[in-house]
Amino acid sequence: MDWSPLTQRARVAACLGSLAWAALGTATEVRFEDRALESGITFRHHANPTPEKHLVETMGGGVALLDYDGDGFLDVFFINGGALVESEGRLQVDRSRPHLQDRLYRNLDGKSFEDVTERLGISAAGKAIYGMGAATGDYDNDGHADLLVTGYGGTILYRNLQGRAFEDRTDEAGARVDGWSASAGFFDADLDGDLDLFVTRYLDWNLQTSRTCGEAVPVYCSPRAYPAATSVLLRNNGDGTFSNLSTDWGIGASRGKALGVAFNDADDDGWPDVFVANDSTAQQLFFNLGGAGFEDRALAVGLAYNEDGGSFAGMGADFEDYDNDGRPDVVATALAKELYPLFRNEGDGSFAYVTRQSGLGEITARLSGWSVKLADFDHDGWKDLFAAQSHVLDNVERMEPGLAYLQPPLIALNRAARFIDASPSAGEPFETTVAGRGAAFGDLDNDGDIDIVAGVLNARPMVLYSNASETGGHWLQLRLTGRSGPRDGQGASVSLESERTGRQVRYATTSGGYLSASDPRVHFGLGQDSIALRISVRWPSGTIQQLEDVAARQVLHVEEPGS
Amino acid sequence: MIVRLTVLAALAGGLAAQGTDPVGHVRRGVAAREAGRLDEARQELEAAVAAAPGIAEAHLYLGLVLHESRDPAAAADSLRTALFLKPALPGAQQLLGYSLLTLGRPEEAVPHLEAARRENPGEWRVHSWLGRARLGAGEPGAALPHLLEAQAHSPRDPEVLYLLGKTYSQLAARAQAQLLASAADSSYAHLAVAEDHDHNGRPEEALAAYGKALAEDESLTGAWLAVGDLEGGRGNHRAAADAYQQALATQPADGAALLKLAQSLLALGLANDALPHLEAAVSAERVPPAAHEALGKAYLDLGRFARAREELELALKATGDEQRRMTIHYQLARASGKVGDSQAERRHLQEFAALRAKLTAGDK
Repeated sequence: MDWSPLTQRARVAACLGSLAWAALGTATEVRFEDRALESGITFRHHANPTPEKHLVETMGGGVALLDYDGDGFLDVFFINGGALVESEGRLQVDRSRPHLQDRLYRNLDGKSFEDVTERLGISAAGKAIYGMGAATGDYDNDGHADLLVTGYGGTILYRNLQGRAFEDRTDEAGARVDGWSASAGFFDADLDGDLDLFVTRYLDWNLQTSRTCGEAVPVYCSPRAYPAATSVLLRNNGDGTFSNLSTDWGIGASRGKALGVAFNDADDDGWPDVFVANDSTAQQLFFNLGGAGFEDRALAVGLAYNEDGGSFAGMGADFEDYDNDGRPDVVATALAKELYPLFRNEGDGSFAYVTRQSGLGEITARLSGWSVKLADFDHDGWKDLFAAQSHVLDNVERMEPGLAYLQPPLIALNRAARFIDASPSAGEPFETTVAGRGAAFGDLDNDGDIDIVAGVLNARPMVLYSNASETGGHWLQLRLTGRSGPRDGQGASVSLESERTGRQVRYATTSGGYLSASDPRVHFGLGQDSIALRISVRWPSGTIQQLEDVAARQVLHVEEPGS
Repeated sequence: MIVRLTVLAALAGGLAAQGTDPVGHVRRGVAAREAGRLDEARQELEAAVAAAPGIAEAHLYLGLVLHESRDPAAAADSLRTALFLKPALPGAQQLLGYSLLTLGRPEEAVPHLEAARRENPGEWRVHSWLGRARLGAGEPGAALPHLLEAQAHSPRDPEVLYLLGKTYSQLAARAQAQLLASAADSSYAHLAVAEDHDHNGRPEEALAAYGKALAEDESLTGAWLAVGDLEGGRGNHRAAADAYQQALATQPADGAALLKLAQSLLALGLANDALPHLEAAVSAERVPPAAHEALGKAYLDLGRFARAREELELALKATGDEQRRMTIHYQLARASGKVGDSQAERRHLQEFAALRAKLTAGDK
C-alpha cells in the first residue's frame, strides 16, 4: 500500500505541534458515564486476597465483549478470580460458589443486560482455575464468536453452539495451557484461513512455591522473585483441534514474564506479528517469518526496553497506528515512575521510544496501568489512549508515600500525535479511584462511539458509555466477514481516507489491552468529514477490497469478495 | 578503659609509713584484679582501706576495681574519698568523672573530667568523655571542640563519630529552633523547615515550605533547585523546568541549573528547547558526563544520529558507572543502527547485554 500522503500529513502535524490539532480534526470533550448500577450487571469480582499475598490475587479482572448470540449487540463476559483454600494439606483454587464464578451478561437493548451464565453453561463452576482473562474469536468459522478463558491452573476453550450455549472443548480441542496464563488472543498466524491462539504465560509460579515478600510490611512479591515462563502458540488444525507449535514456531525460544499481547503487521509484509508485554523483563516482538515460524526481534528493533535500556513492568499492550503514518506503533502500560512506553514504528525496521515526545511521559509519570487501548474516542481522526489503572501493591502508600493503590482510569486525547490528559473533563468515572485491571472496548449501545467495560479487582465493574456520537465528529464502523480467511475478519487491515481527516489505518482484532477482548468491529472517527472517500480492506488472504464514497454514521457490513 | 595508675609504689610507701599490714591486702588485691578475679580484688582492697582508711591510693585502687565490677556508684564514693584525702592524686579525677558519666550524671562529671584534661591534656579519651558529658549536660556547643579533638586523635572511633553526629544534630535543631522562635516568617525559617521535610522524605510538606520561603525571597537559588529536584522526582517535569528557570533568573551561569533545566525539557519531549542549554553546558570548562549524555539524548530525539553518537561516546569515556554505561551503550546501539553502522550497533548491543546481565544477576 502507498502510505506516503499519510506520512506527509503526520509530518506536517508534528511540525505544527500540539496547537495545530484543531485544524486537522474536530475537537470535542468526550465524556463517559458509568451506568453499571442501572444496567442490570450485578457482577462483582472476587480475588479473595489473603494475608499471605499470593501474587495471583492482584493480577486478575479480565473482561470480554462479544456478540455471542448474533443479535447485533455486544454482550459482556466477566472473568472472576476464585478463592485460595487449604484442602487436603494443599492450597487449592475454589470456584464452587456462584460468587466465585465467571458471568456472562446478554445485552438486551444496548442499555440493559441479563445474566445468562447458567443457561449457557459458562460459569467455570468447579474448575480448579483461578480466572484471569479471555480471548474471543470464531475459531471454527461457523459465524459465532468462541471464547478462551485464561487463568492460573489452566485454560478453558468454549465453543459457541449457535448462540444457544457454550461447550467446553478444552481437552478435545487440545487447547489446555498449563501454568499461569494471562492475556491471550486469536489470530491467523499462518494465514491458512482459521484462527490460531496465542496464550501468554506470566511466571513459572504455583501455589506451592508462592511466598510472601516484604520485611516489616508484607507485600506481593516482585516478578523478579520468580522464574520467567514461555508463551504458547496453538495452531488451529482446521478440524476443531489445535496443535501446540510453540517450540516449532520459535515462541518457546524466548522466555518472558508475559501479561499482554497484541497483534498487527509491523513490517507490512502481510503476515501478522505479535507484541508481548512482559513484566520487568525484555518485551518481545515475535516477527512472523512468512508462516515458517516466529523470531523475537524486539531487542534488534528497539522494542525490548525503554530508551535507557531499562526494563519496565509491561502489563497491557496495544499495537495500533497512533500517529497516522500508516504503520502500527506499540503502547504498553507500566508502573508508576516507569512511564507508559510508546514506541513509534519508524518504517525502517526499527521502533523509536517516543514516550516523552508524545506527551505520555508527562501524563503517566505517577500512574500505574493495566488494560490500554488506542482508539478514536472523540471521533477527530486520531487514536486516543485509555488505560485502566491502579498500582499492583494494595499497600503501596505504606511503601512509598506519594503513590496510590487506587487510581482513576486515564483518557488521553491525541492531538496530532501528541497526547493531552483529558481525564479531568471526561466525567465522574475519571475521578473515581478503583483497582482497575482489564478493560474491553466496543459500541455497547450501537450509537457509533466506543464504550468501555472496565474490570475492577474485588469490586463491581465500570460500564462506561461515551457521548462522542452526540458531541463528537462523524464516525464509521465496519463489520467484517471473511471468506478465505477468518470469518470474523480478524487480521484484516483497513485504511480509510477522508477529505479533512486524512488517512487512518486500523487492524481488525479483538485482542490487545490486558486480559480482555474487545468489539471485533473496526471503528473510525471522521471529524467533520461525513463521507469516507476511500476505504481499502486488506484481508488476511491478501485480497484488497476498495470502497469509495462511503457515508459516515453507519455500521457497514463488508464481506470479503470471492468464494 | 585505660587508667594509668602509677601509684603502687607510693601506696606501698604510705602503708609502710603507717606501720600496718594492709600492704599484703593491696598486693593480693592487685594480683587478683590482674587475674580477672574482681570479687576477690574488691574484698582485699576493702580490707586494705578498712585497715588503713587514710591512704588515698588504696581508695583510688578500690574505686578502679569497683568501677570495673560495674558498680560505678560505689566507685564514685571511693574515688571522692581518695580525692578528699589527696586532691591532686593522679588518675582520680579521670576515673571519678568517668564513673559519674556511667552513672548518668554528666553535669557532675564535667568538672572532674575538666580537671583530668588539665592533668593529662594528651589523653584523647578524656576529650571524648568530656564531649559526651557536655552533650549530656545539654551543652552541644561546648562538646564540639572536645569531640573534634578526640576525632583528630582517633578518626574512626565509632563512639566519637556517633557523638559528633549527635552534637551537630543538636546544634542544628537548636539553631533551627532559635530561627523559628525569632524569625518564624522569614524566608530562612521556611527554608529550614523545607529542608528538614526534604531530608526526611516528605516531599509534599517540603514543597509547601519551599513555596513559603520563595514567597518571602524569590532569589533563593538553592530553594528553586530543590523545588525542581522534588518536582522532577515526582514526575512533574513541567513544574521542575519552571523552578530551574527561576533559579537561572537569579544565577544565569549556574551550570547545574542549566543542565537540570535541559534534562527537564528533555523529559517533556522538548529536545529543541533543551538543545541550547546542553550545548552551552558541554562547552563549559568542566563538563559533567551527564551533560554529554543528555546532549546525545537530545540529538537522538531530533534525529541527528551522527552527533548523538559523538556525544554519547564522550559520555561513555567519562563515566565508570556501570548503570550509566549500560544505558549509553544501548543508546549508542540505537544511534549506530540509524546511521547504518551495523558493526557498531552489534558491538554496543553486546556491551549493553553483558552489563545488563551483570546488573540484573539477582533476578530470577
